[in-house]
Amino acid sequence: MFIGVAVIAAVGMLISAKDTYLKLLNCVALILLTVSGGWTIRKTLTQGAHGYASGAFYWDALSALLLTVIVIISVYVILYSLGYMEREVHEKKLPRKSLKWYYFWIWVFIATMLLVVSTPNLGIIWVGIEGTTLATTLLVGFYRNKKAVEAAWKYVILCTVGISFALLGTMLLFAAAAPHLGQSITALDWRMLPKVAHQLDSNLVRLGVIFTVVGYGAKVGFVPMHAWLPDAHSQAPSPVSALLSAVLLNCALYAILRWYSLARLTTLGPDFVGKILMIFGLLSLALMVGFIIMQKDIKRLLAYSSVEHMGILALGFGLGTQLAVWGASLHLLLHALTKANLFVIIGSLVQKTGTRQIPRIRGIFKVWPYTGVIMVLGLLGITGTPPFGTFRSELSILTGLYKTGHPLLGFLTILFLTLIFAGFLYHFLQMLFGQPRGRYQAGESVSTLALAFPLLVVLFLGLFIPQSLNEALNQVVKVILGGV
Amino acid sequence: MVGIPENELNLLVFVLLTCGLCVVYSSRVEKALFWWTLQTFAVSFLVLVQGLYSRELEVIIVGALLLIGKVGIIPVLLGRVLRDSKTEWVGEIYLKRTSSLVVAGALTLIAYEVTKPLMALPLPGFRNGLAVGIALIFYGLLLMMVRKVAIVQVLGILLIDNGIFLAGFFLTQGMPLLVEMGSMFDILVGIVIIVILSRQMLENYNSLNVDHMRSLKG
Repeated sequence: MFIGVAVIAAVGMLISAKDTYLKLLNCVALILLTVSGGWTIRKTLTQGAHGYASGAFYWDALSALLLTVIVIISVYVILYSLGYMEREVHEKKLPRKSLKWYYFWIWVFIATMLLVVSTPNLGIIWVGIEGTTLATTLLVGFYRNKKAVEAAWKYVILCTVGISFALLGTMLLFAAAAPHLGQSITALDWRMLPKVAHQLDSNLVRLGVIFTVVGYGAKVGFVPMHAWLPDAHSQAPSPVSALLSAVLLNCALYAILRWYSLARLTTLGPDFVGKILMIFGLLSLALMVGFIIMQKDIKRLLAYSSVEHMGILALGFGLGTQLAVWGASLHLLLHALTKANLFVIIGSLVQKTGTRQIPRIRGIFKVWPYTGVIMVLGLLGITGTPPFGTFRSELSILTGLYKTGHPLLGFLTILFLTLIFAGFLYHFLQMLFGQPRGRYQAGESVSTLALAFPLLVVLFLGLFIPQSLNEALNQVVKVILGGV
Repeated sequence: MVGIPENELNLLVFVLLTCGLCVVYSSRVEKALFWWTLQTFAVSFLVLVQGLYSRELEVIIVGALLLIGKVGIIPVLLGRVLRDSKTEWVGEIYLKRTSSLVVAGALTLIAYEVTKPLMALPLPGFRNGLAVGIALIFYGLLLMMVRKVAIVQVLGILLIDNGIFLAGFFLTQGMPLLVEMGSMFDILVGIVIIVILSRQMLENYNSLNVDHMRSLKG
């Protein structure tokens, strides 16, 4: 199905690097991906969890949420890539024949992420997440210059070490579950595990959970394992950064969430993992304040903002109340949309100005008014300003904090969010106004505005949440909290 | 569970530990690679013998795959990059070889201490194996911190991988075949990609010294 579509598309990309061929093949693949993915999402949400190939692939509401994010962002980013990479070739930053490798790795990357959210097995999830690291390493180092190679090296080394801890964690869980479920692959099945959850040895599960959260956490970018993230995001081609930030981090978080919903049911109780997640969340949020305010590189700024948002998500999910998890699930979707849009628009900006340094970009409104408008929308969206949907989701998490008797945490979170808002405002206003530096080719077509589509969705969801989405999110909450 | 007799098992575990220490003590990358290969050979031997004793086809398949993939392909790939880069010295920073050996010894003791709470579960004969697995993970981390040649850092990852494999083997007597194959495939592809990256590193910096890579900050 869609995993097959992605794999076939990846192989197909290698045949030729001709512009028309790549465009045609990508469009066909995207249509097939949307149709098959959309069909699965719809079936999951209307008829409940269901499997395929006698349960080897399985989707429930949580997988459907992630699947939605992957499909939407993949379509958006690849459509954008078609033009972006063509311009890069045109400006002689890349040889034409490297294009086919670009699309090959992008589709392998998408295929591994689809695998992660389609399997009911914690072991295969691990294989998939490690697969995403490998698929993206060469994309991060795609420009092959010194900085790109350095970023790719740090990325592959840090993430591989991190992920190997998650493997150890998975093995510990297997050791705990095998006596109850047998020495077979079912012992890592997240459909079977909850049934025996309270019988699992708590020593093994505790160690397993710690290793796993730290391991996948390195991939999510929790502080202090976030060091690879700004390097990778800033050096990769912009469409790749968009995919990394908007989808990959969420996929790693998805792996943690599967463990979280399982560990809540064991004798460790719901609080144990929740507290770990909240600590990571708050740490990530707190440290990012400084990095965001002091930042000079626009793409690193966005990367740090992703760490911040993963922190917010960890806080929301870790809190584990109905409202907070609902908010975090919504936020996961909205952050993906907003961040993909921002990386895309900033990518175009960097391509046009030829610099990533914030102090050297000035007067965008004068030169490219449409880009400016989208940047303002993006600024408001990413900082969670009303009436954007991100405001609603962040508010749910904050309300959750206050309601469960964590007023201090709530206060700190609001403080950090406000400071980050101030930092973003400072950087963006500088870039938007003032005198343009350097001679730029002014003017752009109205079609640029089409790029803002995801942001408009975020805006719409801030004003009105359709009944169907609300129900879907409630299903997600049910999956994560597991009937507690 | 039917398995290797206790004494032979301890001998094998001793070989594994010694190889790990030798990797830490090596002053030349080539030697370190050799000791790692020997260690991985011992790991596959252990798995194969265990599979033969207990007559489990899955375990034998895993052992054979280990032998082909990690003892066969990885050392050849890494060895080639080494020859092309003309790197010999492992690049000691913070700790010289002798002091790192002392630290590794201390880490081994810690590994025994850490695995104590898990001892109630697996068979008593597996105690050494599990502790040595954890110790190898520590050695890997140590190596990555105190050496600055890229290939030695990769050896660190490979040591960690061996350690995790061992710990997993003694904890669970073998993960499901599908997961084992998946993780083995991942590590193989990973090494291929790392080799490609180190070639790009050679093109850019003309050396495999990670000291050059300090430009990305803040």
